[in-house]
Amino acid sequence: MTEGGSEGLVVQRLVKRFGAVTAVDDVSFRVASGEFISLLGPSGCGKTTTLRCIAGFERADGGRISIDGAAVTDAATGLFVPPNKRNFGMVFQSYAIWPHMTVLDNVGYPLQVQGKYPRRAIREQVLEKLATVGLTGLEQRYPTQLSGGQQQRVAVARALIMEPKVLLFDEPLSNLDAKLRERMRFELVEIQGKLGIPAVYVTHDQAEAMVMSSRVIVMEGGRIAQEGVPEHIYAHPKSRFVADFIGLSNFVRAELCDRGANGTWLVQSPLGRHWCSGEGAHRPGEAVLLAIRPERISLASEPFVEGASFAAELQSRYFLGPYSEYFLRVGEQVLRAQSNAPLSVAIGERLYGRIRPEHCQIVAGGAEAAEPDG
Amino acid sequence: MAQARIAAAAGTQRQRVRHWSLGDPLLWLQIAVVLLLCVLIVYPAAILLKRSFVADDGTFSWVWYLQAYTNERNLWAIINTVIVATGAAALAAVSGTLLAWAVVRTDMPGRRLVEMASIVPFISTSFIGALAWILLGSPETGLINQLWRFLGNEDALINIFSLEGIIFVIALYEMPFVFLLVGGALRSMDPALEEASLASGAGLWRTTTRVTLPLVLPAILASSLLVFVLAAEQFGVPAVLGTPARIRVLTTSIVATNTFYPPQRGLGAALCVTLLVIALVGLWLQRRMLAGRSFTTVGGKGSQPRRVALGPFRWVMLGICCLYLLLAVVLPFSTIFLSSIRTLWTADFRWEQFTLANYHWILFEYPTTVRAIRNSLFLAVVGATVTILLCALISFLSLRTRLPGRNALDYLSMLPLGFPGVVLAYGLLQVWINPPLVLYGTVWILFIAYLTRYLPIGVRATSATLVQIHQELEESSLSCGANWFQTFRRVTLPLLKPGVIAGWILLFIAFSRELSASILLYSPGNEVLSVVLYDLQQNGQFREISALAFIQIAASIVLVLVAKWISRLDRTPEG
Repeated sequence: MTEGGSEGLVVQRLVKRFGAVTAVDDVSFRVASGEFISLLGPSGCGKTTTLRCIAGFERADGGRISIDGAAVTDAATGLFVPPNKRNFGMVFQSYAIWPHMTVLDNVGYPLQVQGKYPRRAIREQVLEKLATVGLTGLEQRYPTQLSGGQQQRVAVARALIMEPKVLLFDEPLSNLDAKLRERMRFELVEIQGKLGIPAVYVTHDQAEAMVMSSRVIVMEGGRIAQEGVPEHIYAHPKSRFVADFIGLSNFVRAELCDRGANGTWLVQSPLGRHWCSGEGAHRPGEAVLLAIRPERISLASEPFVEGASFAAELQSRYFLGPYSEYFLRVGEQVLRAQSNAPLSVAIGERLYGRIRPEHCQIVAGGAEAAEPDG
Repeated sequence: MAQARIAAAAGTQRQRVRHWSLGDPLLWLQIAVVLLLCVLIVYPAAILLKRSFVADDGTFSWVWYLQAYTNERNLWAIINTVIVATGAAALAAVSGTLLAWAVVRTDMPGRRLVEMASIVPFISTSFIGALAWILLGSPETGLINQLWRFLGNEDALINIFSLEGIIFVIALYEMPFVFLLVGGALRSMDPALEEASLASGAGLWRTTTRVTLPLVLPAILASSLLVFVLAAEQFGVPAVLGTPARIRVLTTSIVATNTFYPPQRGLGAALCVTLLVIALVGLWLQRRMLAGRSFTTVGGKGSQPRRVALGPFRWVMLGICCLYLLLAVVLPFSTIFLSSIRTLWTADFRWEQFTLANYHWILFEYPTTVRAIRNSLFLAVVGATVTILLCALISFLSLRTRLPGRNALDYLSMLPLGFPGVVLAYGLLQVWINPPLVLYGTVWILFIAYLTRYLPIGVRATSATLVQIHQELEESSLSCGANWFQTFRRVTLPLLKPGVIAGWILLFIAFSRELSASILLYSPGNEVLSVVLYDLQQNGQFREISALAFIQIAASIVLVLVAKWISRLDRTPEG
């Protein structure tokens, strides 16, 4: 992952410890110019610490971080460029807009502290960046007179004005309401796309990560759990953790019976004997865990003619508008399914389900309790 | 589990930004501040401790402690100190809790008026209160006793020159600490806790005694321990109320050792160490109480606490609360005012007795006052400014850097809390009276004493504000390319402004009336206001005292109003 050209942001074997706790444990990735990647994970997974090591607010205990080939942190040589010398634009979770300065002073600050630009030039620059983020005419306001979304845009404009080599985002949208959050996602991606610099985006919101990023890095316990384009991670989660964290998943315990072609396996599970897919080394007889997305379970009131179907009892049904949520009981196993097909089955009656092998994924993460994701 | 721990560790670590190396100017600044604090605090304490163990011939000896604990006068001083401190703490705890409960949790009328009790310590010190209460409660000439005799009684009703008098006056003026702390705890208590008790079938009385009181008990104990320490440290009140009755406490005994010739410095040091131990034990207990406070309350929601309907009893409650304001504010202040504009102090008022001569004398005729006002103003303005800037720097270094020794810095800056003013002054006296640097005899030894004594108050004000300033506000400045100095000057300091101003006013008020350290450290030419008050009291010039005290009270009220005005200004959004 670290080989290839030296362009872009490169993080190599990053380690950060806090006392006895290793918050970031041997993390490596590369972000090419113009690429937008997300560090995704629950709180405490090390994503924010990783970002803060890149920004220079934390000093790495191991590893190397470089931009376009020039190191900013190198634990081996003790090199550490302080944050104010890195020229990395950062947008903070709290926006970190200074309440005692006007919008003009807030956005112009990075140029002011360099001390080499005349006031007029700074003002022009600020107005231009405010236009970029859609805040024209608000330069004399104080932050307390701005809405959350406007403060967010000020923070973005301030990060842009220094013409940064990298853009860093630390959960910048988590304080906005749902509607605004969705709109800002697209705006941020658009702005970054025009700049053509690497962007690293930290979030715990899987939908946000998938919508915005060209690549997602899922972190767990300070390590990278899985890395890839959103579609691939969603369709082929490597572990129970990833399947659970990204989207909804049913987890079903199974035993491998026989190997098929193209990484498919015949398994014995509460759903019967059926095919599923899984990469990696497995042996027949091994106990495994299957992850099945609720929307990948097809439902019908009659047995399917084609493919392996299983019989189930309808436990409950909830109508959600675009689709309905079904809870099915198959022996001891409860499955959650989502379907928008009309289905006239009463509660407690029998219905049939079918899962295609490519939608039934063998995941790592132990074969312990396999319950439907709530 | 592991993730939670990582999160916790990351959370605590995120409080800090700066990293260090030997070439870092911040590191050297940090070292300089730590050294300064060591010279200011640790060195005098060490000298004091050494002094208490060294006999006059220079050998190690227990002789001073032997003298302190076997000599009857000294032993009584220790016992009296404990009695006064315990009595004042108990009285303040009961009355402060009652007032806090009445204001926060009942439907008593006039709650806003009673709430004014919390600003009493800002307006007047217990020393001025004691001076006023001499005018009210001295057995012969006290106004209350004159009225009592006028009503046909033979004896005096009250005698303020007694242990009870000392306890009463101290409790009167330190009680607001209990009121504030317990009131805060009551206010932030989740009303659901009491509602759950009521819903469980417990009545109002059982709910109050079984749920409400136990929940605020840590606050009650902590604040009364604070009063205990403050009372033990008191010099002014026992000096003016105890001396006529030959009642000695540790502080007055310590000051007395210094007035002998030759001064009994060893005995004084042993008494200082004794008082220090009493104060430190009290503070240690208080910290333990506050450490267990977390279980009490704090939902963070602005929920309105439920108010108990007192019925007709609410007027009785208001009467009790007003009695406090009467005893602490109305009676003493009006007495001081009346006394200051009269030629005689009697209960028999005549128009020809009224005069402004007392003010004229104190402001224009008595040369010491003019000097004292100048000195006090200099110390208050320059001292408070230097101290609050040092405090801002200490807060920044200890909260926002990862420099080595920042914990020591935090600890050192809080250390003077345990030092009674008299003890601190006694230590400073030993250090700065000898070459190479003789500061005794100049105003600078007072400057050092005030700065050291009130450092914790200033650091608390600046730290409390700094903690509220989101770390990201400074980090974003760094990521914008600003260096730490630009960040401190352009982001941290402006945001700290409300805390700095509030702290400055607190320090100004404290500096302008400090007595217990000044009494040991002043020298002719370097008198301060409180020392002048003390001297005039020794001469029995009560009308002149009243004039000066009234000026001080009026100035304090103006300052408190200015402080409130400024804090209101800061709360409204700019622009």
